[in-house]
Amino acid sequence: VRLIRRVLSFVRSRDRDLREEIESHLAEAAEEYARRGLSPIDSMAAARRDFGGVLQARDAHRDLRRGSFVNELDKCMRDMRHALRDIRRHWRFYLLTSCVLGIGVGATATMLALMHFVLLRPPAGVVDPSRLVVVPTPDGQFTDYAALRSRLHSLDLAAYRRRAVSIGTGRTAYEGVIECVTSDYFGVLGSTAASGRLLGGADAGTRAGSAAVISPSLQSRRFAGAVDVLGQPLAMGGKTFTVVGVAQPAFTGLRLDAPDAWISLEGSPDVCTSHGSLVGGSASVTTIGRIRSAFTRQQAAAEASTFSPSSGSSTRVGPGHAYIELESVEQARVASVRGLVRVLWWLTAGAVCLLLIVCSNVAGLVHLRLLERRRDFAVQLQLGATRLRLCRELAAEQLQVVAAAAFIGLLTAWWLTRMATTYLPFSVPVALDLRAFLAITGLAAVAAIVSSIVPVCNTARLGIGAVLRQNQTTSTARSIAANALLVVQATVAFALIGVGVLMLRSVSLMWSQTGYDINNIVAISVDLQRSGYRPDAEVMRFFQDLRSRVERVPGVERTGLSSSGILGGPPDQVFIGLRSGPGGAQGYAGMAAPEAQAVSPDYFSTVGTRLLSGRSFGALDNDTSRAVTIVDAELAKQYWPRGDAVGNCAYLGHQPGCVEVVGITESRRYKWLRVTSPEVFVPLAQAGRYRFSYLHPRVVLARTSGDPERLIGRITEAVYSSDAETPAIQIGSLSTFAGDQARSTRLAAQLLGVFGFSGALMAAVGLYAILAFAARRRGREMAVRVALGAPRAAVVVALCKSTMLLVAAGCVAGTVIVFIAAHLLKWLTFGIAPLDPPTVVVSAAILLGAALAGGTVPSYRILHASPALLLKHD
Amino acid sequence: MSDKRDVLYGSLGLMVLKTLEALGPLHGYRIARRIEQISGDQLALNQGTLYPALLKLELAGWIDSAWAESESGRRVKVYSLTKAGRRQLRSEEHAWHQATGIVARFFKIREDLP
Repeated sequence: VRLIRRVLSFVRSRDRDLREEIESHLAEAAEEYARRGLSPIDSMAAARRDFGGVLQARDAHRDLRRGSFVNELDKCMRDMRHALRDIRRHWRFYLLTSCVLGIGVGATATMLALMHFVLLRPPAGVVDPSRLVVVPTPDGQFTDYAALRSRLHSLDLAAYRRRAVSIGTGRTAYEGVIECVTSDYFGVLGSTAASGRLLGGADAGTRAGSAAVISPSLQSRRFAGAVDVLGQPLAMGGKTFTVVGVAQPAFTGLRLDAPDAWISLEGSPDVCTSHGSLVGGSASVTTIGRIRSAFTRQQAAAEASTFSPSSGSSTRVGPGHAYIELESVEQARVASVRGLVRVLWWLTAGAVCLLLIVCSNVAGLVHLRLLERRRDFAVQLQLGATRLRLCRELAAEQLQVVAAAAFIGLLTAWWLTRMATTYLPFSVPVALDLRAFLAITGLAAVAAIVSSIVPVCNTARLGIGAVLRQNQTTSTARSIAANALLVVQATVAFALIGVGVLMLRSVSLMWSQTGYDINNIVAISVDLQRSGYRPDAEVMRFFQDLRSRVERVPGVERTGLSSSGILGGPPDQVFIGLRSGPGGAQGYAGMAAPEAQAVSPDYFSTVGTRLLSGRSFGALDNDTSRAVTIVDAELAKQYWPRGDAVGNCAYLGHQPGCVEVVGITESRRYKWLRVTSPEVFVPLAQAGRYRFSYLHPRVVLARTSGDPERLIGRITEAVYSSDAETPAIQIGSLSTFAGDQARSTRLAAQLLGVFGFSGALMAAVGLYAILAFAARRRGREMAVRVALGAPRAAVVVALCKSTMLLVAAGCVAGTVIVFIAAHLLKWLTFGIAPLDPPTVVVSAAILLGAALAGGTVPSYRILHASPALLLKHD
Repeated sequence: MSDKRDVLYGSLGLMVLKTLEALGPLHGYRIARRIEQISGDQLALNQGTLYPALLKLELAGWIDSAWAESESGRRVKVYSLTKAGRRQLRSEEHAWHQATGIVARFFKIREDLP
């Protein structure tokens, strides 16, 4: 405090101030002399005489200020150098403390950065987002938006919808996301372009040409970062657009992830909707509105309610009438990633737990270190050192430790942020919030400094005699507090490890119980429907040719054809009604209609789906033979509960005839990794009978003998070897698609794994501190026991036993917490019982192993020290 | 030759503290005048030496300063006693009385002392 005061004084009390002060002094004095009757000149002369040398006074003042500041600075440097000498002598101890502190600070700062990124960051490039709301419309269709737009006076409306389309042509084509926006979208948002222009009213007509605004990421991906992209053609969804502008780098629309491009919804309904029209049930849009300056949100909601009597969660019943509640776009943005937000809350709780363990551990370590120096403090105090002086020395020491910890924390946070960015579905990288980082580091510094000052105050309070006489004993209350702290640490560490292991097991189970081989399959989805240049009759020939080309790629074992992808692929699906008899009900209440897939005979053997009974499709199941089908085990059990599905009749869709069930496959998680979905398979050769537009070959699945990722390049070559313009929309391995789906779980698993590992490390450090402290406290007793002939191992066991029992108690308490957490995380921990024995065993093994490792150093010292040395040390 | 006495070395700070305690916040000139008046104009105070002394007291945290307006409407720096300054004054007052008491005893030495 004194240093700060002196620095402030040095900076503030400038010569100018002193000059002004002296001038007013002389003026006051002269005025008094003048009142006594002296002339003005004589008054001033008398005042100057009384004052003495003005220059000398100024010089003395300046010297004092400078001297004081330099003196404080010098003292500070001396403290720092002294602390550095001590740190060098005990560098292992200080390195451990810095690492422990750094990991905790880094983990917490990362989680705060993630929370800030997802929850608190306002949409970039949007003017006054607080006045933007999502307007619920009766059916969520474009026609509703168009009707509302002309009626509402309190809101400027716009609408948008996102759609996955193929971007580019030929081998460089890939599946991207575009945002189809109405002409007033950018005006309502108040956004500006980084270069060129944004879309406006002139782009709304279908004859206006096809203008597109691209994102900076598409600019670098598609045009290799070229600056002059305006006017360049760009194929999207089978149509060629002209690039008219590039969006601002941070602009992501009203979602957290940015689309690749923005096009006009009214100008390109053929690309924006599946049926090429804005009228009808396929043009669902999100309607947004900016509240005009003369209106409040309540007034806007009341007006919107008049024209849009919506239902559902956004409706509230007010006094006498129902009115809609306008959700802000910021709330809607967070709501769109609700699952991720829940994961982040859990991870933040984990990080805070870790920080608490870290702070208590650092306090324990510092306390342990200072106990060894208590006698030094007592002697120094006796020799005249002030308490403040000792505290300053220790604070300087802790500040250097915290500086090192901050560096380690920055590295940890950098690594964790990078890892989190990989798993987050956002194109904008997560940046570390420096203010949050500094705040957490400040907290850690306060914890470290306070824990170092307390022993000095205690020493000063007790006096030198008491400290020198004291036989390293501690009060019972303090022992109980230390034991309780250890149990709490072990509990929290076990909980962190347990939840981390649970997550990792969940990810591994997701991979292993899918109902198909996730590791060795490459899927090639070809968008022939949208290219529109091949009649249906040619589709099968095209795919047979494509399949034979892929089969010739070295490393590809076999291939199969299907009308649907696995974990991705073509977006449009065919759901079909299923009956077990001519007059039977179409499924049971609450059961979703199964998805129909047309597959080639070798499909099942290619993807590794097992047939539980019956047979697969064969070459004889063609267009002229009897209609056959294969159902999955779930459907078979529900429709034919007596287990007689195979050989029985099924009625599919509106087909009047009976279709024979020839086989039952295992149930598969083919759409989502977490849940099974009912499936009905028909042979590709018989698909024409069902007259569904998407029941024709669209996906080639190839089983590889090795890592499928290594064959992607060759397979891509094979796909384009005959037709360079083949519009492939997706070529990738199933494990990649699965990885995309399981991002949240994997993020949670990885980060909780890191936290769990760090928690175990912290527990080991905490245990080391407590055992080392116990070894010091009971050093005399140990020495006497050893001197009397007790085996050293027995002495170590006696020392460690009670502590290990406390850790075991922490394991039991931690198991209860993991059980509760597993219940709460049921939506994330797929298919694992809350009380999962492997999780408990592995977590206990990790924690007890870490605890044993922590106890090794103090035990080793006791085992290898002579009793005389122990007594002397004591 | 003036019959005024120089300020005893080290006692100016004590005088300033006591003046501020007795009279409340004052600016530099007023402090100097009060010290002279309280001494019955017996002290030859070189007023310029007051300012380094004030700075010393301020750096020690015993007095505080703030710019204000004097009775004559001039902008002046007003000094006031802090809590720490009050404590310091108590302890210095005690030490002073003790020291002067000891010296006074020497002036009372009589030959008939045992």
